[in-house]
Amino acid sequence: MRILKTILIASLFVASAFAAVSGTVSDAKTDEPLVGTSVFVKGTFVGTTTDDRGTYSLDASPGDVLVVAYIGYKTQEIVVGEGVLDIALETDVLRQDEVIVTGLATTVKRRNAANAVAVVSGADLVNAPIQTLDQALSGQFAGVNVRRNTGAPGGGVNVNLRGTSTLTGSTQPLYVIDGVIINNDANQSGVDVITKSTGAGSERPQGQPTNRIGDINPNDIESIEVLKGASAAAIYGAKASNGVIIINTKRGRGGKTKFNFSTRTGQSSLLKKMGHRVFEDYTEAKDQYGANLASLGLTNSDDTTTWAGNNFDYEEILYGETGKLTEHTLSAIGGNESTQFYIGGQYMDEGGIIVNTGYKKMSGRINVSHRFSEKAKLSVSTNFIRSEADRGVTGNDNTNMTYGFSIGFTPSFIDIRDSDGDGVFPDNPTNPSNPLETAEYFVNNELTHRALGSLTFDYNLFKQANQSLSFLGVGGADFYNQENEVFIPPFLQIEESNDEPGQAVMTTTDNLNTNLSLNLVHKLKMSGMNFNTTAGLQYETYDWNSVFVHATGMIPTQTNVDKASSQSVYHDRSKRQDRGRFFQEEITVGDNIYLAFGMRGDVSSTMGNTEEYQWYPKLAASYQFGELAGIFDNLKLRFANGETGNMPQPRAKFTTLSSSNIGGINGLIPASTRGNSGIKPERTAETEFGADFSVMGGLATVEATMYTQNITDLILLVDLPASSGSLYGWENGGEMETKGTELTLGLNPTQLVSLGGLDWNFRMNYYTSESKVTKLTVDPYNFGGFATFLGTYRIEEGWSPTAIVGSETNADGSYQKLGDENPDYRISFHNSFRLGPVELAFLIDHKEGGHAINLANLIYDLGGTTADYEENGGDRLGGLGTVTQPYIESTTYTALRDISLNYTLPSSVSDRLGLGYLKVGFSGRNLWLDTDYTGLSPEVSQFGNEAVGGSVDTNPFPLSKSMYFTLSLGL
Amino acid sequence: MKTIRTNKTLKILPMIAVLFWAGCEDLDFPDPNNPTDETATIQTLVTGAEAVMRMDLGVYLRDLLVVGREAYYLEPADPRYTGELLHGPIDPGGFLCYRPWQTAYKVIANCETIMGSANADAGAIGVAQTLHAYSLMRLVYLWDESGARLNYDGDINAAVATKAEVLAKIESLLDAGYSDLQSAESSEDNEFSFALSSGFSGFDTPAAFALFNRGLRARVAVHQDDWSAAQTALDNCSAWATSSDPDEGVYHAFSSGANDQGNEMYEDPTATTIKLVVHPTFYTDADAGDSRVSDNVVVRADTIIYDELESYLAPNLYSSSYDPVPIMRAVELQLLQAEVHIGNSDYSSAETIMNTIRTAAGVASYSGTDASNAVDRVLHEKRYSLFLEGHRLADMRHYGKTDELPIDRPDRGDTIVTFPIPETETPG
Repeated sequence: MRILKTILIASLFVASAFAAVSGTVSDAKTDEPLVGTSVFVKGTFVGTTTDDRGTYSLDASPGDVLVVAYIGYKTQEIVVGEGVLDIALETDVLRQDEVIVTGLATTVKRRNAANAVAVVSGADLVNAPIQTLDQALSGQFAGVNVRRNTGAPGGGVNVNLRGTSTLTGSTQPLYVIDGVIINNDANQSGVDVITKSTGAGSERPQGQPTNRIGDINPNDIESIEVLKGASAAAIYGAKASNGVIIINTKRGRGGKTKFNFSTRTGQSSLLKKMGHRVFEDYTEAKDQYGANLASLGLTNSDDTTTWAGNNFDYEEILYGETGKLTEHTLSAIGGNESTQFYIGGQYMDEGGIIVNTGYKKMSGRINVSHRFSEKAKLSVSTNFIRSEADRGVTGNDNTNMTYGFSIGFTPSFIDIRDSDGDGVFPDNPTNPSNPLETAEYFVNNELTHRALGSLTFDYNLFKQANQSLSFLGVGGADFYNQENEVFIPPFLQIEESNDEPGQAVMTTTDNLNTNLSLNLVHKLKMSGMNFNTTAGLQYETYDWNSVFVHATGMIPTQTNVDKASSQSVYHDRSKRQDRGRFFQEEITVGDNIYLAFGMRGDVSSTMGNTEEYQWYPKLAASYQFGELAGIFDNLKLRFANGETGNMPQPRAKFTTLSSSNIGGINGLIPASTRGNSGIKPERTAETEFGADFSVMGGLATVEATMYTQNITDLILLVDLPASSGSLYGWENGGEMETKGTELTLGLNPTQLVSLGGLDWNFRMNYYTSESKVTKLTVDPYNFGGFATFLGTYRIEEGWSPTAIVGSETNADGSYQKLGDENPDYRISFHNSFRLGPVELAFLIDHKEGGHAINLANLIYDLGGTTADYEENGGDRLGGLGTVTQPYIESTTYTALRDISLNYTLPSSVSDRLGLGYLKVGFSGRNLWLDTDYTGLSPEVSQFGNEAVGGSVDTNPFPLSKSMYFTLSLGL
Repeated sequence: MKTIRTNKTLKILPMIAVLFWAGCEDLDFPDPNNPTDETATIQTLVTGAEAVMRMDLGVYLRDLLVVGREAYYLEPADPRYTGELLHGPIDPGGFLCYRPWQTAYKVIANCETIMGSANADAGAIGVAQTLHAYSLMRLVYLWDESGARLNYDGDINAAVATKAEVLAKIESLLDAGYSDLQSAESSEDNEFSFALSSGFSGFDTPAAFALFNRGLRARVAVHQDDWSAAQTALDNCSAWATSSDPDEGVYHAFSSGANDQGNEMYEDPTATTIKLVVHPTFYTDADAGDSRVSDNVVVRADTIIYDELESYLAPNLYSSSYDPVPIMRAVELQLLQAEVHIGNSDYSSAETIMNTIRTAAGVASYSGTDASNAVDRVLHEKRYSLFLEGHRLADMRHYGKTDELPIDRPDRGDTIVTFPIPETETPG
């Protein structure tokens, strides 16, 4: 496209007087002119784009074939005759002409793509307001599993493409926005240090940290493309084994400046409760809590008469806030032939369902593209974001401070409310903290400022009618500063028993990522064949710096970490330098055959050997049968094979000493984890086969894919005997295999049968993935969770890496498999209906199978408050230590992810108001969830985005359902 | 295929080259966070060893106190303290087991590094051997007959050493350390070339540190029933053993400084909820008016109940999170002397020592101490004088009296558990 435009402008300069062909390109349905459509002579680089009235003119001879292409429309080929040639384009329902990314600097049309590539448009993401970008991906793609680790404001989302490919490494895909790799850190908030769940700088932070990708405003997005496996992502090399998510933000196309404004208002409320035990009479309470009920505030010990009979639903009281939402977005898009711009702004303020929780975001983006000569074009993107989340204190706890633990230990007959409303809460007699008091005064705030910038420079070095060579340089920087503030005032019940009551944590993290990518692209057209050759160099740096201060013994009324009797400080840095080089050749023969091969080499500071490049090859081919046997509109068979890597953690290669001081004297001890100076990246090799077809004029489209991944050099954090001075060591010591199938079915019934103007689109995504450890160079081991008898994961040859075991063993001492985090399959259904000005769309998401370790039930059991305590609680507890099974539960669920109903007012109304359009709508997110899982959320992960060991439920922030009203208008 | 012909290309290539080199930095840089072995000095190694001895001290003591029925740890967030520790089995992969184990070997790793260092003088080697022996003694206290590892090379196929072998190793380390400390006393002007923390205040010269070495030697010898070696060791530290202050001794010190630690045993005894509560028999078995009870225990108005266990007694040993925790105090040496006398059937000398301690505590003196009651009496005095210091379980085992410890929930299968070797220490 770039090159086409270059040529076009050249031809306007030089050849406009000799134009033999001219005309207008318009939408076949609406007759509106299409600005910026590419029109070129087939088999050459001679071409142009339409101006802001949709007109074009170029030099072509009668008999030449013109190719007319515009995003979202079917590409048309027309033979040039004499005089004016007007062209009407039809919308591309099947999206066969959509271009998709195949390299760092090249694209291919979907009809030829050799991989199953999933694309979603920005408009589909923002039917209903969404706090974070990652949440918006949920249910949109086959093979893309989006999991909310917690319901806490600001997210904490696990995005997994095609199953498990690592045991200890990064699990999150690489995010590339406008050609630049951007940061998706999940930083420890420090709330897990306050709850003594883990220490500062833990390898396995708890408290379900947020992901920084969530900062990106979904409204700025033009499209998202997902390279799911190694075969598609090979060109991204050693960082791409979790797949790549390529995001393009909106860009101007020239023409009249268009303004869009939308405002939304709505509210959210609790989606699902645990439920609790109701104590029928005094005897039941006495049997549970002993004769000493006086200490619980029950003064009458008469077994029959004056039982208070209280039944406070503390989930309802604590999680029962109505979160209020306001969102405003404003965008402007426009420009002329040489300069185009997009400006987007967002303001969002969403309250949580627990008092003093919520999320706020402000985001501003300016994208400008300018062509300053016939050869050179510069595109600049800038984005500034401020996001803020108040997340309360939930999840795992060793102090009984978090809401879920506290409620579990508070029987419903005890009144811990602040009944006179003076802000002074009674002490909780059965638990060290009063959760209502904690919620009122606890602060867990995360504030992020972020700036992203990128610059793309496109320069045509050389061109002829049938070949061109251009240089593409992309540079980018991504800086964020994240401040986490946690504060517990000294007067809270939980703090009173401490020697130094009151705590504050201040964590400041900043990070700078830079990217530089230099590419040469050569295109050659020759007798029906196109050759695209690309070669390039990549540089990336990552420089992360975090300072954590934990203060105890706070001066009353003060929150600063220096206003305290003692402080501990933790400082952590992480630094990475990566270099890559690649070469790729893509060959298209006619419209039928596509062939690509390439190689990428990477070297990084994280590797033990920083001299030797790791090489990642790829090979891909597809054959397009076109129309076939009167049934298929088109049929394509495809094959792809490629390799990618997953980097070791930057610290993995260093064997170091830790600081352990006493009385102001510096001391050093061996670090718990021993480094490995020969550590290599993990390697994933993937083979993918697929068939795509559509039948009966687009009535149905099918994309079917099967893939196999072989993962070698798995990085393990293996147990070392503590008698050696270290507990763990890094090792490349395993192999794993992941197999999966993906099926996408699209139906457009109204294409075939007219239902009074109704347009109905249906899309189903079905996928499975199954992993197995095929080789382990160390003894099998248990990993994750808290202890074997509390449920843990088992890493053993021949087993799924996400298999869950517990105390139960067979006669020979081997572990019994009690469950598996990995589901049998997932399926989602997306429906959209349009009748005139009315649109209705909804997305249903179903997960079949999969298990979690529900320790929320254990917490309630220990407190004697589980809803089914009388029937089952005693048995569950009694067996604890020998039987874990009752705490392993299925996480099958069905959810209504989102639903929206929109009405566009007739143009007579909008015209009278001087508006381009005016639209009103209702939408809802997560309105309905059906599951047998007894905890708060079947998607829970206490350990965030860990590859293995995440599905442990210690009562996360509960999920909410939300309803919104939207008003949007354009100028 | 890519023949480049235009002049502009030639202008752009140097630009690219500049960008290229600007982006290059050395990929092989050191860890930005932590020092490596070369950074360590004798001072940092000694301090590291002393500091890391306190790591998970809370878990180590709770293990001993709960199994030895001196206290309960009523922790609703973690049922293992009232489950595993009271009825077992101890999870060989659980933190109750591996954390105290790991601490001991971290100390040993530093001691071994000092021993192998060219910079270590006799004082440093004497300290290293003594701390090494002390760490092994902690392992014996908790693992008892399960033994411990004496090979530190990570070879899990090597045999685990028996308790007797570990005690023999402790003995030889202490004796070698003693001679190094004596040589430092004479040849290094009785000064250490490094500083010890305030926990060793009064014991921070080679000669004074040697007293601590001998005190440990006496403790080990008593556990070996080697009464003459114990007597010799006690004679060698009599300056300390006869101190008028029963608290004079060696301690784990704490502070709020950077990378330092707090006293994990401290809780406000009057707080609404506390976790570490004293076993009720400590109160009911006490002699009338024993100030070791009234000074060290708060009788609460309420009863704390959890998991079918209850207590109304809160420990009151410490007044803040930075109070030191004893490693060895003079009163222990006096009681060890009493044990040695009993071992030598000298009951009247043992009675004299016990009565001095009892008089100070405000309780009536013993009379008629003989073979039938002497061991029970000295165990009673150790229980009350060394309250919550973690000696009771090892002492009851030493005299084969663990069946006399109270079992609170026989219907739940409560028993006196033994600790297995952590699972990462053996193959399979």
